[in-house]
Amino acid sequence: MSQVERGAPAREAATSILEICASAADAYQRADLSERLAQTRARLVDPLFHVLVVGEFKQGKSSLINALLGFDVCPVDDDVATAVPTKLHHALAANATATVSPPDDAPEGSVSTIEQVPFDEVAQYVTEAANPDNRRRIESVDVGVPSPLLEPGLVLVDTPGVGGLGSTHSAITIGALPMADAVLFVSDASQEYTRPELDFLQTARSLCPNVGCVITKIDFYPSWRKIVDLDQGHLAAANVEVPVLELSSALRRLSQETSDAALDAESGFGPLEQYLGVEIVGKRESLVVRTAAAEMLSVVTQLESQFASERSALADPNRASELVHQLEIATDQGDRLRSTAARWQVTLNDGFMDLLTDVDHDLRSRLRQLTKDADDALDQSDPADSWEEFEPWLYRQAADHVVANYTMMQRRAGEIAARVSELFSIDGNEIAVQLDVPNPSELLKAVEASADVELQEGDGLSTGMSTLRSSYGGALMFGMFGQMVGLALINPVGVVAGIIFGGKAYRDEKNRALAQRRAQAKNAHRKYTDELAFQVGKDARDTVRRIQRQLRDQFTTRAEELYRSTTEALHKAQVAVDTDAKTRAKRLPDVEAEIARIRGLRDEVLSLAPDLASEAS
Amino acid sequence: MARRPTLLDEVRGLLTRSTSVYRDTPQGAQLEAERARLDEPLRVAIAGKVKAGKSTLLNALVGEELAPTDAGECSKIVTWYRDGITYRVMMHPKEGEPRQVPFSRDAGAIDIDLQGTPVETVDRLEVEWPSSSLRAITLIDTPGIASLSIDVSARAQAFLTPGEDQVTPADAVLYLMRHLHTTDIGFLEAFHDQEVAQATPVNAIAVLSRADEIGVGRLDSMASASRIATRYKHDAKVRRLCQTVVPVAGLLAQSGSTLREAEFKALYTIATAPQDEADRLFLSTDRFVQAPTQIALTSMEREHLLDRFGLFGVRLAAALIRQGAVTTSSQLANELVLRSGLVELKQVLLSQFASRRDVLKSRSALLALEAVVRDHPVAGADELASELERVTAGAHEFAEVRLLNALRAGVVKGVKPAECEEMERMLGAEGSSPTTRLGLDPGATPGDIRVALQNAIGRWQRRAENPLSSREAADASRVLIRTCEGMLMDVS
Repeated sequence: MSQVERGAPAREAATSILEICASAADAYQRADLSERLAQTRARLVDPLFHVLVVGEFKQGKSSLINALLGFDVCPVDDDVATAVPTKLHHALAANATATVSPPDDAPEGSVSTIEQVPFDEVAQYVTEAANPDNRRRIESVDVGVPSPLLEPGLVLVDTPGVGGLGSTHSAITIGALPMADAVLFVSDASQEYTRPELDFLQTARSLCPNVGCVITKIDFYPSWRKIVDLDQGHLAAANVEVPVLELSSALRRLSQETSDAALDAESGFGPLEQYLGVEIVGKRESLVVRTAAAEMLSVVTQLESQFASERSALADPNRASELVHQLEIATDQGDRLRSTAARWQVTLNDGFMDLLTDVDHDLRSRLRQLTKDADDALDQSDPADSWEEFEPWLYRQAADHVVANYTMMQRRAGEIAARVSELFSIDGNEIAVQLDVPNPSELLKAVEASADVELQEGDGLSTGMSTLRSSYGGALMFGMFGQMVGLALINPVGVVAGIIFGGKAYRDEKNRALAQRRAQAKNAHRKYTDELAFQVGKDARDTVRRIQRQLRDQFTTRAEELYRSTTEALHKAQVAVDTDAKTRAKRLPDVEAEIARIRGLRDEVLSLAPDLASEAS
Repeated sequence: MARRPTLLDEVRGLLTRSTSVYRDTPQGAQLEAERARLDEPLRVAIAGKVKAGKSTLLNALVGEELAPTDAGECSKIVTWYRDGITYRVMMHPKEGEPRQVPFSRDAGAIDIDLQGTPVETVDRLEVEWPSSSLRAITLIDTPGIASLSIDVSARAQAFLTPGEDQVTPADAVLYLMRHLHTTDIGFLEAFHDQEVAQATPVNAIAVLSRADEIGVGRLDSMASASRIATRYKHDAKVRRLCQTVVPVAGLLAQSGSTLREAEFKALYTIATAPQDEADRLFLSTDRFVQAPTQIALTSMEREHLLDRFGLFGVRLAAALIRQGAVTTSSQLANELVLRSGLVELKQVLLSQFASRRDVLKSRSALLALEAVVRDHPVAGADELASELERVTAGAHEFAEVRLLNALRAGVVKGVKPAECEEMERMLGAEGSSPTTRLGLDPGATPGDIRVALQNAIGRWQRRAENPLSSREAADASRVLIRTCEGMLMDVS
């Protein structure tokens, strides 16, 4: 399993360099910088990559996960098994917890509780058989297992099959898609993709940057090669560009028991591990490392700037007074940059004020359209017949609209962040120039890099879902798209009426009942969209405010750091001016040595992400 | 004593009268066809999602490899298989006269040459095939629903669930599903949404097809499949849509009913080879075909076996031969067919469809007539309409069907589950013979049956008159009393 761990060493190297940077910041008494590095460290050490395993039921999703991990965690059964999303993450000792929703009669505002679950009783919580209709009210089950595959922070999410009788499953899965780092779409080799499967894949592709198709049970179906070909044809025809992997969980399990390398190769799990390790974890990790490197670079550059101006003053006393003058200007500018009247502050506040109203308006008009579409759909059919299809359709539409709304917010917030960052760079650059640092743009790199991470990921619709993922993962994932409740559409009443009445009377009764059912159904979906508008609207407003606060804090901290760096440099330069020639001569080599040390550290940081250096030069 | 006119007689009379009312109108020919249909075999459509195993099951029921089966989707046109005097294939285009088209038959399945006619313009194909299995039932193969090619899906939907004004050409439907999906339910609902008999689970049987794949080829797969079928059978949603759910391993059934001597020999060779040698081959389909082995079968022979029986079939056959449960090819064929669930399915078909065929056919005919009378009111149509209502309301068979339907939908208030089960059985939900209905031993004498019937009548009478009985329960009891009385007359 060596290929799986490929990403981890890069993070380890970054962490150790980060620790040196942190101790350097401590040594130079820059507590503000070392605090920032501590935050960076937390992100570097413990990243989580969610991979959703989805597909119609009975395609072998749970078996696939068991075969990947090498032991039986997810219950497998010939009948429908998984009923509750199960998240598997790495842990030193096997453990499990369940998130349980509050009962219906709980007071408003009750929150879900987390319960410890004995590891061998996981099946009691997640299976349809042991927990029919989810009577235990379980939202999700978290299972920690010791597995080298999961160690780099991979979280596999086993989902209930889509398309089963419990139609809400599909809505929940679609709602969770944008939050996932990757999606594995599982379908067995018994038949080519069906229309619903391909529709689902298209939705998934537009909501998640990484989608991989997995064809299972190739040990059992003789014509699996033909099915794989057909599926690839369908994908190409639908313009869905995703890798297709074919494998056999049964052979893999057998190879694990017998350590038979040939069987393992035939099982096709090697390429899947490769895909997860390199494509998913590897790429995400290099992004995490790059961001951390940019942060470190900024810290190192600021440290260097303090000594750089001191060295200039020491080396050339005649220029010293001019230098002090420059630094005074820089300090002044730095002070202005951190005030609320700074240009970036004004842009930030105005931009987000507009965004708040736009997001709200967008959501409202979207849900209004949805209500209208739903009414039209109900007017064209008898809810008693169409409800089974209508319900998931509505959930799916709602999910699409909500995600589109979030995407719009994300894009706009990204634009504002870019504009703010630009203004900040212009103003910040002036300070940096005064500071006489070798490469002023590096100072601001970190700010750009962190805005980058949010903007750069993926493509198309999924642009910049990372903030969404980190801040709303909890709210959206498996929670937000609740069910419509309290609707009892009783078709068979008509049957009894047919026995009692006859002919025309029956038909009139039937029409009246139909109108009533339609009214009932419309009421139900209105209640649902209202509730959705309320929940999502609040979440969206909170989100906008949170992004605004995050950006403000981020830039304010940078401004404070810059100010601190300039005052520090000013102070050192002034000290240098005031000292006599002899002390200066003694101090100069020390400063040179410090600078050399910091430059060495800087080179190490750059080795983590060479592209930062090329951009800087 | 003059024979009581049966429902079929009444319907035939009614149709004859309506043909004369509608003579010289376009509907005349349609009604004529409906009347002729009454004397034809029952039409059973085999429907289901794409790749549910429809063609395979059709072949198994006929006992011959007729319909082409393939890993991709292959049945794209509605195809009728009916008994005939000669072997021939008729193509019915959407517009124009039907004409005969040539076909060839190699390696089993028949290959029809449409002579360049675009698939979209073909309404249906009719294969006439002299076969004893098709004498009682005309089988109709339909394209898969939820097929990737939208046209194909639409063709199946149009055939099985025509719009409000049309009548489905099938009398009954075998609905194949691999697992129960929401679309399956939706489809079954649509199929039942008709006026005269309203939603009737009497004309649909759900088949859990490809049952051998449920356990991914484990030898106990069929047991698993039965368990799942039983669960579906008791699901309230399924209950109100179909009579029962039967698990069938289509491939096993097809290959069992067409087993050849050479195939038995090949299976015998595998079964008598050392066990671990055989087990190595059974690991995966690739290994079964390609792996080097001491077993004296060429790669091509092995591929043929896999093609015909699937991995499960080969494993099962080898196990049966090795255990000595079978020693000849005919024994193996019987055992495979038995284990495939085909025997059970045939029994259900016989007890549910065949014994109710008159009711089902009458129902189809009345549905058609009702549509005509409603949409094309001509002089004399009113009279026909009231006559139609009289037959529909008066036929005790329909009353039974309605009650059975209501029971299964769970809308008969005041009836406990145990009593509900007894009522359903009495109405023939498990088979129409008097002993099955009364829950007696099959060998019971007419005397025993008479006593049991009289007891039942007394019991239902008390139930009907009991002031504590709900109105629905009392109505149901009265229907049952008439059912018992009818049976009593037949026994005498």
